[in-house]
Amino acid sequence: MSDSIVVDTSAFIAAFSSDDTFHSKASPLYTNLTKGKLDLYTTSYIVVECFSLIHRRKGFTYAKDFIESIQPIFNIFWIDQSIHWEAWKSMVAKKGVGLNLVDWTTAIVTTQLGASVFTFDKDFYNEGLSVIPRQIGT
Amino acid sequence: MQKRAKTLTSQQKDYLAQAIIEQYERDPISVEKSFPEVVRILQNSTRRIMRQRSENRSTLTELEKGKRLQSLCKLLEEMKDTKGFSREQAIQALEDAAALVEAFPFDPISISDAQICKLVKIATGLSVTTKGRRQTSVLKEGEPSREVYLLRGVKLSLSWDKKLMSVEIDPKQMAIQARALSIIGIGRGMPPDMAERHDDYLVEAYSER
Repeated sequence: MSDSIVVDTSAFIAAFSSDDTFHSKASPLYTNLTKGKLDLYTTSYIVVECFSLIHRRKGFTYAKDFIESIQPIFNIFWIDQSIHWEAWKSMVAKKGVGLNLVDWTTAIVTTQLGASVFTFDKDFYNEGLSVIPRQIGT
Repeated sequence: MQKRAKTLTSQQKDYLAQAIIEQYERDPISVEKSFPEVVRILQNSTRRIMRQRSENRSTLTELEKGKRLQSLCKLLEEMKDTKGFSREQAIQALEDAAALVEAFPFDPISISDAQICKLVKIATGLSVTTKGRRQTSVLKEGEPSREVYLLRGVKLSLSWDKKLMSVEIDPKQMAIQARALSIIGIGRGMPPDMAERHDDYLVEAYSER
């Protein structure tokens, strides 16, 4: 039984941005996840994506605050060469349709951990992964 | 003489499948080179199993869930009248909340952080705070069979039959959670479709540098 969650870029951004379409869904879920009931993961690639987006839109202080807020409670899964190339192969096999390279690394890590992924990207569900919120897949 | 393909017994098939899976776990790349179709099937079935497992993770039946929720809501309503609310009721409410959280960790339960803190205070006398040292209140002696976090830093130890045995408050963990929650909703003025289209916004971010 999985007690692990991998949080995707879309979920972090939806929780961070009060103006995001998915904020009202992301906010209570994110709050719930931080309560310590589950093992929380994200990947080094996702951290880079979030940092870049927040840095570009809100500036360095917000981006730094974001990273410092997740560091103590998230296990950062460092994407190594083998996962990177496994993701590449998966993406090539799908001819680039659906998940992108970063998403494929997330999918592989999620599968390896036996986790669910917190995301607003339907492509994860379409690839057979367990996703939250559940409605995203339907 | 014509050779006939040997039919494998189900035991041999199981052995063969197990051998391939073990080899795949040791060295996925070489197995994929020789049997790409087998690896694709393995990856797809693993993902399907993971999804089924996490969707069926409940340790409470629908009936039990309903009873626990009803009991919790009733007790929280009664807690509004602090004077008549007993320690036993607070313990019962914590046990209900713990059973629900343990069975449905993905679902936000209908109890606020403030209500959890109040219940802990009534049940144990401990103040839930982000300052000070770690504190534990033991209600029943013995070896707990499960631990449930109602909040980060608020750990409930329970017996096999989900009775509350002790409560531990870790102010350091509570401060960490407060820090984690501090980023929720602070990104005002960002595009409303950024979560959904973050790839496009990343391209924009990188191209402007």
